[in-house]
Amino acid sequence: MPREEIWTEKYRPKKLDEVAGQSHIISNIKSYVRKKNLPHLIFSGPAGVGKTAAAVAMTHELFGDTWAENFTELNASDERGIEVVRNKIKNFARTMPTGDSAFKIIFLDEADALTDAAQSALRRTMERYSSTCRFVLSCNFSSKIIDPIQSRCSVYRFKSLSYDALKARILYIADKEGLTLSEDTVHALNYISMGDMRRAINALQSAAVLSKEIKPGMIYEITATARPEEIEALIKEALTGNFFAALAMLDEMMEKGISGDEILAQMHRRVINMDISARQKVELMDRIGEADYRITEGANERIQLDALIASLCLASDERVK
Amino acid sequence: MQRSSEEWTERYRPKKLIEVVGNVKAVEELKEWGESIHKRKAKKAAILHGPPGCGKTSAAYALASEKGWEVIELNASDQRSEGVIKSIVGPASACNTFSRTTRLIILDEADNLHGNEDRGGTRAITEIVKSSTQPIILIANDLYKMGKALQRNCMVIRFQRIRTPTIARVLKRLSVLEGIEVEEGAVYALAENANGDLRSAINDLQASSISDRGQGIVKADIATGKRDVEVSIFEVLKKILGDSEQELQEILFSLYNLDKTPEETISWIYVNLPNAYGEGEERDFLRALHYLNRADVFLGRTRSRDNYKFWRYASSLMACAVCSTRTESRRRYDRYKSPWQRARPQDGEESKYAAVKEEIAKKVGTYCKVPLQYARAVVIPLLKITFRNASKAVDMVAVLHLEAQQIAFLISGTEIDTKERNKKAKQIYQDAVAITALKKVTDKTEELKAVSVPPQNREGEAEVVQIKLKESETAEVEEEEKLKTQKTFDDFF
Repeated sequence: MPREEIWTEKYRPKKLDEVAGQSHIISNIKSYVRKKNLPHLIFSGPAGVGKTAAAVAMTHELFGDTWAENFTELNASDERGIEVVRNKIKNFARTMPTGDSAFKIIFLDEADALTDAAQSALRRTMERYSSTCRFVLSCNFSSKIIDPIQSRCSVYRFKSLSYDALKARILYIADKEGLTLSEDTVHALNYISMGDMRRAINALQSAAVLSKEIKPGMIYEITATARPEEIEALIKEALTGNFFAALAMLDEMMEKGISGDEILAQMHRRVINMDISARQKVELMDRIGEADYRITEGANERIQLDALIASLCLASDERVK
Repeated sequence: MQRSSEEWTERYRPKKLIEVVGNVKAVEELKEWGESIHKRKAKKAAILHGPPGCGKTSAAYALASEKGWEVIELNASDQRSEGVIKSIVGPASACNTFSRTTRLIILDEADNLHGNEDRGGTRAITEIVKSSTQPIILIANDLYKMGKALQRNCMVIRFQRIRTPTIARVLKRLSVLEGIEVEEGAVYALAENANGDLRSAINDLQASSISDRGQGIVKADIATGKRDVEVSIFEVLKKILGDSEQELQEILFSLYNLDKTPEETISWIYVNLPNAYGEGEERDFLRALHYLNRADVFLGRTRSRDNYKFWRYASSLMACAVCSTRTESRRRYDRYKSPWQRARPQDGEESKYAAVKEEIAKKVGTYCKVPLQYARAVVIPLLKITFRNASKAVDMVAVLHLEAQQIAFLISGTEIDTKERNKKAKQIYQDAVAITALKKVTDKTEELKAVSVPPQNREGEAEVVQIKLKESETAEVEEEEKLKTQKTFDDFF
């Protein structure tokens, strides 16, 4: 056994009960497991909310020791052509399951990356080998899956993880790894993860390299994220017209190695619950987006950021008038 | 109980035509075709087309088993290039000397022959259909994607969505056969969810029976995705457009959890936006439209740069466009329109046209020695104008060697009726073939060169003839067009 593993794999749930959040979906899947039978499934939802985790845990519970032989995972975004369906998938599907299970499971990750051609090749394969094989397709939006396939599947929409769900899993891992962390650290992890469990666990593992006691600052530092308070202070200074104060704060953040890109993303996140009028919020978000776009297109990061802050200061002037 | 891992859709596939539910007329036509195929002159192939889950494949198999035919099936999961199709279907269809039994060839998903992998597939099918002595059934969702030549050589049978009560009846029968308890309301919920797709209804029933926790299937258990999605888009719209005071954060959160891409969501917001505003709120409406426009700009950036970070700006701008502009209390609308209620191009139609246009551009490019882009942007529009004059069109077709489908594309817009247009395209095509056969086309070169840089008068000339030719029809088109603009205008304000 290797001494250091990637935690997202090490702590991938083996049981359905361990899958964080998504309780409604999990309870349905549990009854599939109880009856040892399931329909073809589509799991749709954002990244890191437990789609793969649910599929793997389900397979473990269904097949026990023979799970590895009866389960295959294909990442559709790596091989997205029709060839994959006609060769790889079909070959796996047509062979009999091993052990006493009645069928095998093919997990197609990022199935919405499959071309339409490949998807339509898939639909008869699903039907023809349904006595030996079940498909679980994961995707970000089920609408990217063609209708004939949706018609053959039960669709489950995974929601982004709640704070509590994330907290429970993080504390479980911290306990296993002998880490101590406070509620503030969990908040920090929740903030940087944006509902993506994978991101939270990765940050936790990186921070754990530094110390057994994880502090919020470490989380922000390791992920090159500004503290939410800093971002809020920056916007507030700007909106009250303190151009140079705001600029100094920006300098400070950038010296810490936080990219302009990241600062803009966080400003965008923060604006929405600031105490300003809805109209101002929308206008701000539009400007932030515009700056972000220009930087991406090759404009000078500092000039764009400074100009953005200046325009916030001007907005404050207009407000006074 | 039988083996439980089998899918019910397979287990209960009808064995006889009479067991095929719904689509009485289509089944009748299929049956007649089945009777007639041994007559000389009869069409040896049939195309069954229609939406998913309405019984096309089932009907084909039922016919075969009723007639005692052997079945050879090729579907999109098999490679279907010309060589493959000929080697499998060719011998099967051409020689029946060894066995007396008829062999039915079923080509499932015949509208999905694909690019490089299936090179030559369409042509091979057309040829086989023409020469076959054995019956062939082609199954497709989209008739449009199948070549015109192919359609001409086949009996075309259209299947439609299955009505909700019919689906409910089937579900009830299945639940009795499987010995499961299903609440009456649950049956209807399942049937309605399916939206005319019997297969998905049966799959949902089976899925619910698997997840059933022993107390039978009740309505509350019916939590299948599609319905969820429809419901939740309405809830999100209510938050975005409705009158309750909503926190922006809350709206945005529900938008993130929606199973729709931002592109789809913005269409939903856009079509419902005008209804959210009342008299005297035009200014607010305009402002909301401005932010919706900005959201759309970010969507465009996402697409063109393939950079998904711009999605977040698009999402928040579209979510907040309305509530940020509200000054008065809101009008309340509970019934939201679907963006697809308006003229939505039939599935595949758009892509089909794009492909046809590309073919024409290639031919023009080669012939006029201009870049493809120039051919697309400049020459094709000119051709479209020129094609209003049938006799000029014939000449052009002769030099460019255009096919009927491409002609149909070039004369689209002047004809309302697809059938009429196709007929005309065919006529032009045949005339052009006649010309080509009669004489060499060198003397026409001049004319086409002129087209790539057109003299003013030519356009005018074409116009005049066109008006003479189609006075009545043009009037109709204009009338129609006027009506269309009116409609959109009304919708807007």
